[in-house]
This record gives sequence, C-alpha cells and structure tokens, in this order.
Amino acid sequence: MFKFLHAADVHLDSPLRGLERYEGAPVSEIRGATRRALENLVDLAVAEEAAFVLLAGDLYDGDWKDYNTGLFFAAQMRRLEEAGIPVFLLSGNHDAASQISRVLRPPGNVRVFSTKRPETVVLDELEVALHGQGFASAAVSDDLAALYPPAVPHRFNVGLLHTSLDGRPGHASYAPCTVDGLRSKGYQYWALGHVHEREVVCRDPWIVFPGVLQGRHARETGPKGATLVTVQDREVAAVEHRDLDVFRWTVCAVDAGGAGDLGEVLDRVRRALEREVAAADGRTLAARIVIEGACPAHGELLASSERWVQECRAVALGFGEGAVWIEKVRLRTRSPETADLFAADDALGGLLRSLRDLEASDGELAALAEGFADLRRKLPPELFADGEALDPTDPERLRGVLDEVKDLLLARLLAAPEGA
Amino acid sequence: MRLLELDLRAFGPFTGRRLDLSGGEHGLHVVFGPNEAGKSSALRALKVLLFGFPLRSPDDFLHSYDQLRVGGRLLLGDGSEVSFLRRKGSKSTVLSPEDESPLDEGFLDRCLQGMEERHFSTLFGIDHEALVAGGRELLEQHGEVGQALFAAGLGSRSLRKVLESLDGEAEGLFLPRGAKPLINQAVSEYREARRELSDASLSGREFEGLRKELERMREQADALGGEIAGLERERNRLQRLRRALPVLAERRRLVERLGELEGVVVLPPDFPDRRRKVQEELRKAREDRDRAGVELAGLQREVATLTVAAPVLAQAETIERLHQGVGQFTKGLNDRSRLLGESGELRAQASELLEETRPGLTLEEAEALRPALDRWVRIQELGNQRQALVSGLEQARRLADEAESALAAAQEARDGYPKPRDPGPLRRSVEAARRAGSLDDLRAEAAASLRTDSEQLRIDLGRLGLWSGAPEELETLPVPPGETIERFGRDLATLAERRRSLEDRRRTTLADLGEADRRLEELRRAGRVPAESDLLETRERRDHGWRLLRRHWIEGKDVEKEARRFDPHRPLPEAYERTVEEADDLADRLRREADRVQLQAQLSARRDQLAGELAGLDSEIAAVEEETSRIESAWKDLWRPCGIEPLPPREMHPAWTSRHEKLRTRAEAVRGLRRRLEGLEETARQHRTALAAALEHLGEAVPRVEGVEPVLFRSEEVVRRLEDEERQRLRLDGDVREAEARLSKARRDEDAALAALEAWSRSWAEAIRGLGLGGDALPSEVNQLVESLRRISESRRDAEKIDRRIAGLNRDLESFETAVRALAADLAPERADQPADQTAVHLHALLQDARRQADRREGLERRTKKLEQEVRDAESTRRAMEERLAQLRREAGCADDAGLEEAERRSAEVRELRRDLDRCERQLLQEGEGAALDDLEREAEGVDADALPGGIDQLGREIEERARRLGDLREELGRRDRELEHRTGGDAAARVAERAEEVLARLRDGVDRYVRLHLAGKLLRREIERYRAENQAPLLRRAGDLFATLTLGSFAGLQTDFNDRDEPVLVGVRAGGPKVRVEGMSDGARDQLYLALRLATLEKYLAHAEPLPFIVDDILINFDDARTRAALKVLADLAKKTQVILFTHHERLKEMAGAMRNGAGVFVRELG
Repeated sequence: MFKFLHAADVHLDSPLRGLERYEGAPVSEIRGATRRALENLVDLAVAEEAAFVLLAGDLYDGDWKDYNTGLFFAAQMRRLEEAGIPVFLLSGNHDAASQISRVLRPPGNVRVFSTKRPETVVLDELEVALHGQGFASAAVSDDLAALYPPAVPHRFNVGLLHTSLDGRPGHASYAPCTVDGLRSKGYQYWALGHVHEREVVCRDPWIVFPGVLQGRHARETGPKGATLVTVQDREVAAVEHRDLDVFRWTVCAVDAGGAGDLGEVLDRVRRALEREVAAADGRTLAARIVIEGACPAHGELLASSERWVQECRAVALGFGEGAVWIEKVRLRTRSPETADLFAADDALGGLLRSLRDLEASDGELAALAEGFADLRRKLPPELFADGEALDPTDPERLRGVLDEVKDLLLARLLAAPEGA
Repeated sequence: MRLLELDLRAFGPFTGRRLDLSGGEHGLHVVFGPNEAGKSSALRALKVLLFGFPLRSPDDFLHSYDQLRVGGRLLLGDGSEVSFLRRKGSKSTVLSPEDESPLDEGFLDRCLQGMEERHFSTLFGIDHEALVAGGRELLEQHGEVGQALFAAGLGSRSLRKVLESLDGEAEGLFLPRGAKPLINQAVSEYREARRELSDASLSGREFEGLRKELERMREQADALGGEIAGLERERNRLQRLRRALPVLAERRRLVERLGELEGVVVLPPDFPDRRRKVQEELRKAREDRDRAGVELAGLQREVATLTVAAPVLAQAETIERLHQGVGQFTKGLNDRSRLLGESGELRAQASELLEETRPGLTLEEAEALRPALDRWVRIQELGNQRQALVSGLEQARRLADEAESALAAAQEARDGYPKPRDPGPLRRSVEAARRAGSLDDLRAEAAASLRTDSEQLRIDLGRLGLWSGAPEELETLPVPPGETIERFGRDLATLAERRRSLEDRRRTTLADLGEADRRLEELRRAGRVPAESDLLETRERRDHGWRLLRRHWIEGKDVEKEARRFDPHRPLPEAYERTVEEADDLADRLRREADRVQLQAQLSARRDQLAGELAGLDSEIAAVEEETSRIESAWKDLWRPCGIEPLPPREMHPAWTSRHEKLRTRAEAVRGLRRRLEGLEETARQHRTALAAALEHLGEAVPRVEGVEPVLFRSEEVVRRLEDEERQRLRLDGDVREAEARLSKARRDEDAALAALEAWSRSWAEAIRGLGLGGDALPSEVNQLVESLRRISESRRDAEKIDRRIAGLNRDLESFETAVRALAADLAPERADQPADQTAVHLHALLQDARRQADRREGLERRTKKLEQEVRDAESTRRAMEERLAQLRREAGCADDAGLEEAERRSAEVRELRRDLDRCERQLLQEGEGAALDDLEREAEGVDADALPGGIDQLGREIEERARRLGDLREELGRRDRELEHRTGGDAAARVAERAEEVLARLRDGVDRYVRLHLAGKLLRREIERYRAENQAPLLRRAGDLFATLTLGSFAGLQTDFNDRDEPVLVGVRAGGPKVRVEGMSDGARDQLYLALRLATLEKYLAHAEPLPFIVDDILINFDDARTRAALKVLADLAKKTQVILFTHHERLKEMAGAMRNGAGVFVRELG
C-alpha cells in the first residue's frame, strides 16, 4: 500500500485579489498565502510519507516574471528531495506562458513531462505507470489525452493532464476531452488540473480535479487544497481532500428582509459571519457580504453606503484581530414602498418614469457610457481583468446600476432637510 | 379625501379634544392656537392619524405610550365616510373608534395612494421655514427655471444641495485632470506599484547572469590560489638550499679524511675487550700453577707421621654390643628382688578370703566348686528375667477386666436403638422432580412473560394504526406484498412529480400573467391608454350624432327623444361638438402615444397567450388528479380484504408493513409462550402427586401448600433424616463387634504370662544346682557366693605367673657375665676380675680412640689428590690463552702484542668519520625535503650563497601581494553569494503585487461609487430639464397669476429669460414691463414667488389625482395685512380643489380669516 498527493493550479505568488486595505484589516494574514499553502503541501507529503507528488499544471501565473517565485518553488521541492519524495509535473496554460518555467532548473527529484508527446514513467518498485504531456503553448485546443498510450498491464496507471475536460464554467477551454475518452485508456486514476473548483468527476476510473491550492479571490470560495490518494493492490483504496489553504474566501448572503433599522441588519450580518468564521477552522476569512431583501432600512443604508461598509468592518473586527477581512459589502436591498410613486403625476413620479425608460433604451445608455470614456482611459486595464470591477463604458453594466442610482436619488431627494 | 374631524382623544396636552374640519366644499380651515395651546401637537396629531406614530414620540408627557390615541373621520373619494382611531404600536394600529377592535388599513393606503409620510410632507405640507428656505433656494439657484420648478414640484427645499453633494462627492472620487481625488490617486499609486514590481522582480536571465558571474569569479580565485602555491614552492626551495650549504661543506671534509685513512683494518667494535680479556686470563693461569705446587709438598710430609691400633678395631663390633647390654644387666638385678616380694603377698590374700566365705574349706577344695561357676552367665540371665515375668502377668489380668466391662456397655447402646425404614422410593421421586428443574420458577416466569408480552402486543397492536383486532387475527391478515405496494408508491410518486412540475409551470405562468397584468395596470394608471376600438366607438358615436343633427337640421325632423338618449344633459349640437372633440382627441392620442398603445397591445396579447397556457395547464392538472384518484381507489381496494383504510403507499411500505410484520412475529412468539406454560403446569402436577404418595407411604405428613417446591423440600428433608438413622445404626453394631474382639485377646495374653513364669522357675532350680544352695534360693544370694569364689581363684593364678618371670631373669644375667670375661682376657687382662659392667665400659673407651686416628689419615690422602689435579688444569689454560693471543695478532695484522693497541686506535678513528658522514647525509636528506643528494649537490654548485636571502624576501613579497588580492576576491565573492542567496526565493515582488491588488480593490470600489454618483447627478439634471420643458409654460402662467395676486399686483406675472450662460432663468415682470431677476427681489417677494410656484405645482398635481388636505403651518407671519389677506384668498381658492388646513398662532390672522365670508369656505377653529 502507498499514498500519493495530487495537486494542481498552485499559481505561486499570485496575489489575492479584491482586498482593499483598511484600518484593522488582517494585512499580515494574507501575505504570501500561496507560498504558505505550498509549504503546507510539502509538509503533508512528508507527514503522510507520500510515495510521490503530482502537480497537474499551472504552477505560476503566466504573466508573473519574478524568478524568486521559481527559486522558492525549487527550495520547496528540495525539501521533498530530502525526504526522498519524487515529484512529477507538467506545464499548464499558465506555465507555458511563464518565463520562469522556461529558465528554472528544478532539483533532481522533479520530473517534468515532455510537451511534445505523451511520456510514460514506470516506477517498478511501486508498480506504477505515470503518463503525461504538458502544454507547449499557452493555448492548446487539441485533445492531448487522445494520444496517451493505453494502460501498461499489471501496473497502477495514472494519467496527468491539464484540461478543461468537456468545459467548465469560468475556465477557458484547453485540451478538451471527454470522460469516455479518458476512461477508454484503462487508467486507474486521472490527475487533472486547470479547473479551480475541487471536483471528483468520476469514480470509475477516478477522474479528479483537486482545485486550486489556495483561493485567490471572491469567486474561489470555500476550502482549498490537494487530494491524497491511497493505493492498494494497484487499485485506488481511498481518495481524501485535504485542506491546505491558509486564507479562506466566502460570500456571505444576509437577508435583511423586514429589518427595521441598521442595528438589526448589523446583527444579522454578525450572525452570518459567525457561521462562516466557525466553518473556516481558524483560518483568516475574506468575506463578501451581500445584503438582500426588502427592508425599511433600505433608504438609510443607501444614503450612507460608505458608513455602512465601516459598520460591517467594525462587526468583522469584533471576531478578533486577523479573523475576518471584509472584501466588499454589496447592497441588494429593496425599499418596500416605491411601487406607487411611479404613478404620481409629480416631479418624483416623472423622475422614476424617466429612469425606467432609460433602462429600456440602449441608445441612451450607450450615450451615457460614452461619457465615462475619460475615466476609462485613465484606469489601468488590470482593473477589468477579472470582470469584477464595473466598466462604466459598458452600457450593459450601466443598466445594472440604474436601480441603485434610482434608490440613491430617492434617498437623497426625500431625506429630511438639515435642521428640520 | 378630506378630513372631517380630528379627535385628539389622548395626545400631547390634549385629552378628549375634538377638532371639527367638516365645513365647506373642501374648506380652508384656520386652526388657531395661541402659544402653548398645542398648535404643534395638533399638527403632529394630524400626521400621526394618517401615517401612524413614529418609533419615539414626544407627545407622551401626559399620556403614556400605550394610552396615546388620535382619531379622525375621513370623507373618502368615493363619498363614503370612515372613522378610526390610531394607537402607537408596530402593527394593527388602526382601530375602530367604538370598541378599539383592529380595522383593515386598506382604505388609508388607497386614499393616500401609497404615499409615505416623507413624500406627503414635502408635497402637501408647507411651513414658515420651508417657505423661507424655498425663497433662499430660489436666490441661490439664481432663479434657474428647471431647478425652481422641479424643487417646487418635489416640495424639496434642498434640490441644489442634493446636486451639489452628488457633484462634490463624485469630484472627491475622480477628476479628469486631477491628482488628489481618490481614483486619480489610486491610479498613480497603482502605476507606482507596477513600477516597483518590475524593479523587485528578478528575471530568470538576470539571475542566471548573476550566477555565471559568480562562477567566473570563483574560477579567478582558484587560478590566483594556484599561482600563490607555485611561488611558495620556489621560496621553499631557496630556503632549503640556504639551510643545506654548511652541511654540504662538512661532508666534503669528512670524505677527504676518509680517503687518507684508506687501507686501515677496521676491527670489530669488541676487539679491544677481547684482547684485554685474553691477556688477563693468561696471567691468572700462570699464578694458579705456582701456588698449588707449594701446598702439595707440605701435605706429603704430614701423612708420613701418623700410627693406628689395629686389634681393637678388629673386635669393634663385639665391644659395641656388650657396651649396649650394660644397662639391661643392671635393671635385671633390681627386678628379681621386687618380684620375689609380690608372689608371697598374693598367696596370703587368697587364704584370707576363703576363710571368710566358707570357713574350713581349703584352697584346693574350693577349686572343686569351679564347674558351677561355668554356668554363671546363665544364672545371671535367669535372675534378671524373673521380675519382668511377674509384672507381665499382672498387666494381662487388668486388661482382661477392662475389655469385659466395655463390651457390656456397647451391647447396651445397640439394643436401645429404633427399627430401620427404607428411604429408596421417596429418594427416586425427589430426584425425578429435581431433574425437571425448578418448575415453580419456570412456570411463574413463563406466566409473567406471557402476561407482559400479550399486554405489550395488545398495546402495540393498538398503536399499529389503521387496523384493530385480536392478535390471533393479525397472523392471518392478508396484507398485500411489498412489491405491489412499491408499485403503487412509484405510480403515485410519478403522478405527484408530474403534478408538481405542472404546478410549477402553472405558478410561473401565473406570475408571468401577474407581471403582464401589473404592467398593463401601470400603463392604465399612467393614464388610460387609448385603443383603436375606443376610437371606432367614439367615431361611431360622433357619426350617430351627426346623423341626428343632419336629420334635425337638414331634414327638419324631430329628434328630441333620440337626442336625449344621445346625451341627456346637453343640447344636441353641443353634445355633437363634444363627440367630435373626443374623437379628435382620441385620434391625436393614438398617434401621440403610439408606443404605449403598442405596448398595451403586446401586453394584452401576451396576457391572452398566458391565460391560454394557464387553462391548458389547469386541464392537464385535472387529468393528473383524475389519474391519481383512480390509482388511489385501486390502492384502497387492495387493502379492503384487510379491512384497512390505507395511508399513501410510501407510508404503508416499508414503515407500516414492517411494523405489521414485526407484530405478527411477536404474536407467534406469544402463542409459543402459552404452549410452554401449559406443558410446565402438567409436569409440575405429576411430580407433586408422586412425591405425596411416597411421603404417605413412609407415614410422613404431606404439606398442604400449593406447588411442587414445598412438597419437594419436605421430601428431601425426610430422605436426609432416614439416611442419618441408618448410618448411626451401622456405627453401633461395629462398636459391639470391636469390644468382643478386644476381650478375647486379653484372655489369651493372661494365660501366656502365667505359663512363662512357671517355665522360668524350672530353669532357675536347674542352674543353681551344685552350689550347695536350695532350689528356691533367691538370685541375690547366689550372686554373692559366686563373686567370692571367683576372686580367690584369680589371686592364686597371679602368684604362679610371677614365679615364672623370676626364673627367666636369672638365665639372662649369667650369660652377660661370661661374655665380658672372655673378651677382657684378650684385650685387657689387667681388668679381668673387675665387675662385668665396668669392664665392658673400659673396652668401649679403647675402641673410640683407635677410630679417631684412622679418620685423620684418610682426610690427608684426599687433599693431596685434589692439589695434583689443580696443577694440571692451570697448565692447560695457560697454553690455550697463548694460542688465542696469537690469533688476535694475526687479525690485527700485528707482529707483536705492543702493535695491537695502535691498530685499535686507527680503526676507531675511521669508524668515527664514517658516523659523522652518515649524520651529515641524513641531515641533508632532511633539509632537502626528499631531494636526492646528487641533485642537492648540483643545485648548490650554481648558487650564490650571498644572493639567497634577497631572493627569498622577494618571493615573500610577491606571495603576500597575491594573497591580498585573493582575499579581496574572496570577500567580494562571499558578498555576492550572500546577495544572490538573499535575493533568491524572496517574496518582495509578491508583496508588491499584493499591495498593487489592494490598490486595485480600492480603485474598483472608487469607480463603483463614482459611476453611481456621477450618473445620479447627470440623470437628475436631465430630469430637471425634462420637467422644465414639459411643464414650464402652464406652470409659469399659473404661478405668475398667483404671484401677481400675492404681491398685490406689484408684479404682473412671471417669464423666462436667459442668463449670461444662456440658461433659462425666472424673472418677475413688473406691471409696466420691466423684468426683475430673483436676485433683485426682496426676501418677502421671493418667499411669495416660492409659494406661488408651490401652489401652482399643487394645482397641477390635483388636476390628475385625488385631493389630499394641504397642511399649512404659519407661513404668513412675515406678510403684511394686505398681503396676508391676498394669501388667504389664494388659499381659499385652493380650498375649492382640496381641503386646506392652516395652523396659526396669530390673533390677527384669525381675525382676518373670521372677517372673510363663510361663503368663501373659510372656517376658524380654536384650539385653546
């Protein structure tokens, strides 16, 4: 019996995204998160006396140039070498674009699969055969698995592959293939990479995406880590996911339905965060708070959305230093009352009707979007890389914020005048 | 809606105060309350009535929160009246005024059109402050028309502030050409971070370059190290030479001297010692020879003088023997006289003892009694036996008596014991009962189990549900098999699933339908949407009217009746004109609102389609329901044989069926339990009968208690008792038999003892016969006699023994004397007559003297022989030594002994030289550090000894210089190595990247906020402009009229003009035509201008909506009387369209209002 570790998409030194620094934010906790996760991986391999470690692509971010990252990786691999644990890896779409992987010479225990043709490594002592082919270029649209050799008889066959399989939402389609195609090779285990969500695609044979080693933004939520596989008599005896991340992402939906005032909404935020903190198992949490529902406090929330963010951060600080980082507070509340205002033939009713008409008018939206061209030119393109930031020159995105603009205007125009 | 009465039942300072506001068509109600009368409270109460209490109310100083009540009576738009109370609370705050039961608030929502308090207050309320603020706002807007109109339309007095804050906040976030705003700042911060990132990033090539440079420097250092090693080797060589030169010179001298001494015989190192030893030994041999010759001559002279007595020595042995016998001879003389005395004594003692024992008897007669003494041993033995035999007889007699009495006692005990009974049959019955187990317990246990199990079964059966009956019936209940039930379950589940999906679709469709309806309703609310059909209908009606007119006018017919049907209120021409107008109006609207018309058409079509779908879904659902009920009834039929009304299959199986199955199994178990109990009872009865019979047979009582155990216990007790009795009887019989045996043995012993004593008496008489004593003499008497006889006999025998020894002594003495005399006659005749012992001593002394002379001559002869040998030995040694000396001379090559020492000296010198040479060469080898001697010699030949130190120093300097360079290089190498190590693997770049991401996050947030704020500002402005364009003309016209009235004609009206930025601005027009900008108006005029705008907007609003009371709070305090009157008139005019409630605490206003005609609909209400 022996065990091996399967990880992928380490994205070493890829920074955590979307975390705006504020007073009391756990800044030091996020530092070097991907590195610490990799250290955790090595620690786990040593502690479990893994027979070998598989890395199924995307060690580095493609556009990341700092060679130190590669050297850190090499140092960690050396730790495995000292423990007598070999490492087998192949390059993914990011690695193919990376300058680091082109120059770096890893230590002797690291074996990198060829990018030209499928390679097979046979480990006689363990009765294991490993098959793999890396990405030669950043965009591989061929089915690499198709050319993989059939299973070596009387061996435990593992296929390493960086692939989007038959398509996974949010992931570019690379080295497309099908479960049936993989199954036809007769391997016992397919160690896949590229998809950032943990997923056991199939149990016969085992086809596994271990997911990223460390979540890096609000769309990579929940526990992250590697997959520990136990093999007995050339069959998979157990597959366990081990959490290795040091920093956890979560989206925390809070139903503010019916909440009368800010205090009550904050109470609900606190309760929701409490659950998430408990689930994070001691790790620092990055929480996106989404407040939803129809509530009388809606107007109050909107009129002072900045103060509101501060309040949520204060709640987060209540969980102790370094426990929670409020990534973003999104207000999706509704006012319970505005419906009838449309009908009134007064200035306010007119305003609301105009906004509603605008929502339906592509031309006007496009003109409004045009007005933000100045701003857009000033902004760095990286801001829009992940689609998270609001691109004001995109009419569709503007349409999406009109509701909030309406609420903002209502809140301000109907606010009691100062001193009244 | 209008308020007919305000009931201040418990609010603020009021208790049970009512305010009547019912007068007039709508009425201008001036509510007068001097200071402290609660004017403000009443105003608040009015709002509370309509919108409920706020969370915190200041009006609880008299009445606590739960007592606060405000009531009112409203006249609704549909003409109905409603009275209600308002209490403070979070829900059900609208109560019936009679019994305070909760009322449905729907009527309020309807008449307020969903307006919330904030909105109502801005639109339907105005107070002094708002008026002044509105006027000021006009000034600050510089009369900008759009803002003025929009602000008035909104009732807002801070529109400008809202616009400013939107702009200000947006600019705080971003300025196209700014640096400070958050976004600008974040963008530059981000650029900075990117730059830092590229600085901090170590490219792979750069790293490899650094590594290679390091490699090159290492090689350089190695080369320098090699150079230094070469120089050091050279320096060592020179230093070696410097040390070797003096040694080489010494060596040369030694070689030269050795050459001179060539040919000298080199003697072995021990040669001088050997030579000295030989010479010494030669001298010693010569001396020894001389000394031994002298001593030999002296000895030979002494031997010649010695003489020896030979006859004495020849008789030496005889003399010795006689000398030894002298002591024996003297002792023999003494012994003979002592023994003669002892013999006489013994004979006297024997005679005396005989006289005492047997007087008259001689010693010889006494000797005749001796044969009797031969039996002495036997006599003594018999004497000893007598006492034991007598005691044995006494003992035997006593034992026999004891045995006799013991036998009598045992017989008595046995005869007194009762008769035996047989316990056998009873014991067998008991064993049989015991083998059957503890029957009573088993029976009780089984009965208890049966009881509880049946009870439990009965209860669980009750719990099974759906079926009730006896447990026995349960086992035969024809429950359908699980597979059948599952099939029903599957069928029903499929149907339910289908039904759910249909319901879902139905819900979706219904929601879509609702949405379509809502949008249609919205369209409708925004004003009725004209339809083609409306137009057709109107045109039809118009044409009908035209036909009537035509008939009336052109054809002159009476159409009176038809005309009244056509329009009952208007004369025909007017009615016709109206239809023409209506038709045109409709046609216009159809064209103008084509979009809405089309939208409505689309929505209607969608609605119809959805309705159709809904109907289809309904019928499908009905079909599914029918199928479901069919299967359900089949399901029920399935269970009918069981008499069960079944639950749904999923609940029946496996839940119910498994419960049923369990219960059935348990019913079976209960039945088994009952059978077992019956069996146990039968067995118990049989055993009891058997035991009772056995007991009775033995004559024992049978216990009357129920059950087997008591009888069993009693039986066991009886068996035990009978067995004890039998054992006791057997033991008594044994005792009697034993006593009888002991008695017969005692009798036999007694007879034997008696016989033994008689035999002894006979033997005794036989033994003492011949002693002259009677046969009955006692052993003690016999003993005494025998003892005396024995002692007499002994004394006599001793005296005879001594006489024989005296005769022997006499023979020995005579033989000694004869021998001495014979010898003395030969050797010493002068001593022949002296006592023999003295003569023997003298002879012995002569022998001693002769022996001493013979010993001395023998010693001298032995010494002479030894000296002769010594002389011979010394001579042979001398010859040998002389030969060896000659040999040594030959070895050294000398003619005589004197040359030997010179040869030895020269040999020693040569040896010394050679040793020195050897030392030199070893030193050179050492100094030369392994170089061969010849090489060293050659090197030394070409060297200038004086130049050596200089050369060495030069080399030292060169080495030092290179070592310094190497040190520097190594230091640099270490530094770079550390630097590389420090840089590599570090996360500085990663940290910068993290910071850059933080900046991006800030930027993202900023952009988010900026876009919203900017859009809000932009859209608000756009709307203001739109509102102006749409409403400017009618509103300004009406506001102008009002303004003219309010300013008592000081202004004739309002117009728009353009300021220097070409924006439309408001101007007042004086009666003569000059225009006055807002900035040019007095504060009062501006207030009136604002009031005029507000009232004009309100009128416009009221033209299309249900009226709501307009609440005015003391706005006229700054107006003079004339203008106050004008304002009252304007408000009274407004009161024709909607109810106006004016709160004031000014007496003057009250009077002026009171002075106005009631017909104008003005009413004064006092609070105080």
